[in-house]
Amino acid sequence: MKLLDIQHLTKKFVVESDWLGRPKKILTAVHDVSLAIEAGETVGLVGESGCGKSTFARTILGLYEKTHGTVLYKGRNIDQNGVHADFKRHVQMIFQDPYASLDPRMTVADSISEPLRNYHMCANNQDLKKRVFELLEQVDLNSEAAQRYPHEFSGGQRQRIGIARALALNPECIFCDEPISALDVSVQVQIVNMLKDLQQRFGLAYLFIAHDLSMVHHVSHRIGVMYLGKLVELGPGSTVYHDPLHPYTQSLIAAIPKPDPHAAPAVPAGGEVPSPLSLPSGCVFHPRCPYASELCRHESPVWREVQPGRFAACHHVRGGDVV
Amino acid sequence: MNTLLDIQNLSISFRTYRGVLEAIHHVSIVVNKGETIGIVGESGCGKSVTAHAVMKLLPKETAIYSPDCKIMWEGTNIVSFTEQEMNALRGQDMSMVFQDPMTALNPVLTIGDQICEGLVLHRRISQQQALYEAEKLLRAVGITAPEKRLHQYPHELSGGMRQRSLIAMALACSPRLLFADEPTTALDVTTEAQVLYLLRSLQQKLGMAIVLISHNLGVIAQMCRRVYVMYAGCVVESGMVEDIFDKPAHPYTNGLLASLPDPEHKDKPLQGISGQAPDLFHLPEGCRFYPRCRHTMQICMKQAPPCYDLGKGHQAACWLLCPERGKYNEIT
Amino acid sequence: MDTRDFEPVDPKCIVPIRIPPQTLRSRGWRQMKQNKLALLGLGIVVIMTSIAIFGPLVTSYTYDDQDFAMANAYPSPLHWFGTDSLGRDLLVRVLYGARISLSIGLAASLINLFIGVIYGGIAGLVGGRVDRIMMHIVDILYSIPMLLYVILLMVVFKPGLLNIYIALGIAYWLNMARIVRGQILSLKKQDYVMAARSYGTSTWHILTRHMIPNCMGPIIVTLTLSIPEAIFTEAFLSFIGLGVSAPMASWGVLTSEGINSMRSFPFQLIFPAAALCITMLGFMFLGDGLRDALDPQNQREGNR
Repeated sequence: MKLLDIQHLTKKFVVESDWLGRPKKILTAVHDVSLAIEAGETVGLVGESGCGKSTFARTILGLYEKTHGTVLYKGRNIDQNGVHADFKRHVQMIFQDPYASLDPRMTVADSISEPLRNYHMCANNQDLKKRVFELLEQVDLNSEAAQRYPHEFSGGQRQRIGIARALALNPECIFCDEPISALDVSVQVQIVNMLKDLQQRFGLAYLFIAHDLSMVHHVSHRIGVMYLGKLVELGPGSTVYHDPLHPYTQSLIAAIPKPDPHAAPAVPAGGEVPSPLSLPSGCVFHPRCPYASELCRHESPVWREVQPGRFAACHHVRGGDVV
Repeated sequence: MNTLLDIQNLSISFRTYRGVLEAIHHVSIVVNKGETIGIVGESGCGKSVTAHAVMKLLPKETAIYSPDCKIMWEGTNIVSFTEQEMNALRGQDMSMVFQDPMTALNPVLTIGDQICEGLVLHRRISQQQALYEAEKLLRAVGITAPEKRLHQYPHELSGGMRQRSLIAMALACSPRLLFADEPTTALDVTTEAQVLYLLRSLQQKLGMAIVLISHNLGVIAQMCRRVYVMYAGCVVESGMVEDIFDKPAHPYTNGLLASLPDPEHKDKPLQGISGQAPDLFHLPEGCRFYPRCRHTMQICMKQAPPCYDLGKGHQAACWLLCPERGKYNEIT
Repeated sequence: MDTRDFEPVDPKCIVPIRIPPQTLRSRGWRQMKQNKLALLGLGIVVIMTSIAIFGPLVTSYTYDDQDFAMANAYPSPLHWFGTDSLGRDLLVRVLYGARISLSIGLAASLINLFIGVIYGGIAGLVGGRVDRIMMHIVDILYSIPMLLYVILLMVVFKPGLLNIYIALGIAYWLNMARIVRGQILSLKKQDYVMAARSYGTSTWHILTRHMIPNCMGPIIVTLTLSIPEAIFTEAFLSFIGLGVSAPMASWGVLTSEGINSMRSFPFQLIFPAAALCITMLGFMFLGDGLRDALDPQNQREGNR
């Protein structure tokens, strides 16, 4: 059974309202996205800034109130009584900015033990202390770290503290919201390797959100690509990276500068991402798409299974003819 | 003479409330005319400080230049230049593109005003002429409808557009040296590729030298001819880009390259580097990299390594390259 | 250099560099210590407070001991600050004045803290329409000149120490409410508050564990700066006759009395006025210093 099944999730924000509080301008940050996560699997989610990938994760967790859609946790709707608490406890989150996601006025021990206290996981202070040390050890931090404050740590160490906190409740799935993009290259590897290691030890599932496609490819079993609030492609990691279906995925991959002086320079795609407040008609990617046809300008492509296990929303998959 | 900028033994210290902190230590960098060099390293390694020190943009109250350092601009030492002399040099002979295109532009002035400012100041032309020039510049950096953009404010432009406008500003007086301080870090991949493409084509057209500062090895590999690798305030390795990427001599460079995922071999575990960059207030003795190094030797913990020449301008500061080390290997 | 130098070192033997722990408090204090003006302010505040508490206990006169024989005496070893027109020792009256003025400052800012934090906290936390209406009310009250408002309240309440506390307290909370609301609104968007919600922290605990401790800096600064404001307003009220009633004396009353005999006995004006000015400056310096030391943004930069 699927661990998480997100169906037709939509999130709209009111950007501007009149003096009575009635909405005037609405931004659709996530538009009808469906995605399932199996137990123990890593699903990568890539896209450029503002494409709604973080909002998507936060909306599932209920940090933003969703506009439409359902989230099934082990086949049960999380809006039902009882399911929600279960879901919240077993799905945790790691944040992008390790400077901002830890309360500066709490010691590391206080931060890590907060989820444990919330769910009364430890009978007494002795147990709590033991569990905090155990969690610190799992993320390769010295137990001496417990009494220190976040500002005394480097970015990579803070991210480890964030991971320890997410692990505290023995989750089944962790949403990693750009967990490595604020870190140095050499430290990124440490965090990625640790996440992979923890996955094997605890059978964790990850929703790994990032804009660095090569790193996402390295860690993910499946990759989803988002553009302007919509999921445009989803499929097994290697096939999406090496044989992208959607023209947007193709341009994303072509734009990565390769760390090889002998390789040909990256090819820039034309155009700019349009403002999410005034989306183009039809397929949202058509103004930048090299294959755009009359059809793309008028009709929004449907989300369909192009090959077994590979989905895309495009009229001209791989630049080919209309299917 | 082919050398444009020759930085010798540059050390910069800052006065902070925790005491004096040395941000860069004995950095020597050469930039030839029309050449793109890269400075690569992780946050806090001193790459930006180096560029700001050359442009003399560091806060005067807190930054201290070491007494023995030299910054030779076409044979003249500019360390002792006054603010006035520097102003003549900045903008006209050397200019800079900053990392964050949002904060580097003044939000209350139009794009046109900001580009014209430098033009009117350095070339002493009328505002009218300057506006005409500015429009030409915007067109040159690939901005569509430049006559409209001139009268827009920074917040009306997208991130990529802003970075292009900044490049246009930096190029206004056709400088001979352009510092690009993480010019694409704040941008998305597709925009990054556009900006890099633009920089490359502008350099071919205008023939200026570029010092590209980045933490992204991909960007460095694609843009630069020569590379300097910095760690904890020191240059640890330098050389032609092919040598650095194909035959890295310093364990730090090696570790950086091993940190990048290889798309062809997805299941190969990444090596990376253990530990984290040192706090500049608590630097290790000897080689600054030894606590994170795989090949630490006794001497690394006692003495900082000198720079060893590996031929073709390839240099690295690491005890592994010491000829004396051969003797030890023979004994054991 | 000898060949043994090139012997490899087992990575396990490399001792990591230990960086001594540094708490937020120690860092804030270090920053304060470098700020000479703030230290001066702190010194003044401490001295004034101890004088106000202990001063009257050690003097040989009380504030209403009259000695007509010694009326309007110039400062002398017997009466350090001289005496007033009724022959009361001016030093003692200034010391008692310190008690009243400082206690008014303290009480007014405590009431202001109480109302301001709760009002601003609710507006910020609930947000939306409630926030908009609550802040419009603050805006309207803000548009009434503060002194006018206090004077009106005093006229209704009648002069007296307790009523001054109340009037000042309920007049000066607007600023605090605004600051607290702004803080809560920005804290709500912080990742660590988001994180706390994601692992199931209740709203009450988010408020008490995360938001209030992180608002403390600006609250303390506003509080420190509102104390001299309250003292000054009280002085003004007493000066125009709406303050504490005789024979009690606040610095405002003393200054007002001193003005009458300014020409002939200037010391009767100078001493209380100086005490008032020094205390106000002390609080201002301390408040500014605290603002620099407690600002989290400052601290992140200080890390480098």
